[in-house]
Amino acid sequence: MRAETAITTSMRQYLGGHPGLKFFFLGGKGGVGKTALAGATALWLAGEGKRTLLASTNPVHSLSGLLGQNVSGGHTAIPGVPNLWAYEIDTRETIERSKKEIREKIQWFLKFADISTKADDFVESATMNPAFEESAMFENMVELMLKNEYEAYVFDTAPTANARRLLGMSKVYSLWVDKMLKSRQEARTLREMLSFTKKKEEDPLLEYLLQFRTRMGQARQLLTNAQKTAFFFVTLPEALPIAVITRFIGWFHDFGIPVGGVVVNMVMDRQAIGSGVPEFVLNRMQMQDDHMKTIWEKFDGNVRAIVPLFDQEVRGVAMLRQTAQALFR
Amino acid sequence: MPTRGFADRFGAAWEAVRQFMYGLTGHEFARHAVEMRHEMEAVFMVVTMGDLIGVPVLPPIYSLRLLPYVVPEIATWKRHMVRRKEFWEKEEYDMHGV
Repeated sequence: MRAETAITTSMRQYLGGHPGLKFFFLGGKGGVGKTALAGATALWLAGEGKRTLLASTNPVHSLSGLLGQNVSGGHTAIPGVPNLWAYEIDTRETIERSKKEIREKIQWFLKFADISTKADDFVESATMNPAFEESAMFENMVELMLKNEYEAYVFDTAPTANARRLLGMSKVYSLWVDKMLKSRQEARTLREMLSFTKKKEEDPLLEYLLQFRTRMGQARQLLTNAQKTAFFFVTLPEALPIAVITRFIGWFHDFGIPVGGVVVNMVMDRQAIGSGVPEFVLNRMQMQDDHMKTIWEKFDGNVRAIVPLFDQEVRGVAMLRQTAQALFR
Repeated sequence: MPTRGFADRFGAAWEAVRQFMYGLTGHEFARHAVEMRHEMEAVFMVVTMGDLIGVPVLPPIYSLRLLPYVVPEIATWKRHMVRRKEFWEKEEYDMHGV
């Protein structure tokens, strides 16, 4: 079968076919322009009249740099763009909160298990988990999604491996919480059986776990619903970013997260360059052409847009508008 | 019947005195130390493997490395954690070895 060399379903057509699409994720290898394209997508959605939040889940945020204003403090309205807010998710506060929560839960449990030994150092060590940052980011993202204050959410994610971990977390968390719930219920039954007085007790842990499971279930439902969620992969016409997203698309299928398609960024436009082109540029264009062939072959039917390399860097609302025009042509 | 020598009798009496003194002074400490060790071990298990009994502690990466060493104790620890102390077993009613 011959691969197509033209876009069969453009970004605009894809959105037309998925009118309920609400959660947009943009991911890819580092430096391919995820933030710029996330910004352009958010700008376009806001222009369509949708209350839109552009949020960064990348621990190394760059939205403030993109928009030329500080958006790290909270949901910040973007001047000159109605319906658009931007926010760099701050995990520090969440990490502190979850550390406190864990500490309280362990203390409660030790009391519950009639352990009177003071073990603050041990308890403290339970709150020093390297995975905290990741889970705090996930919790924050889920909180935003479940709060449902916007009509569209565009997430600028961390480079793909992290994003995959982040989104896959709903599955990992669900499995984990299910296991914990089972153990907790067993423990309760056993405790009652072993008890002489058969006194009934409240179990805040069980309630917490049930709540946690419900939240994860809801998050998972949203994240795996192809009518509501789409993950777009950004690539350059270069070997490494192509190889990376080829691998990652498979992983996303495993987690059941809908893949919206592939956007090729920073493609040099022959017409824009004109004549009298230096050899350096010609060679580079030849390289891009070769890689474009691979892209058409590999992602046949899934290429949603080709965004050109502009003569300026994409920063600020005006450049984002120009990018959005190319993305939603 | 051979009579016990002085050394034997002295040895038995000394042993009795030694045990009496230990019971009077050291026994409570030793028992308390064993109890504390037991509790510390239980806390350690809660902190590293809490999710096995439904305490939402994110399992640290080293809990996997510890697992082979704690496997024999998991069942006992789980039972210890679920057993509710009745009021007569509480610390304030404990006779501490008496």
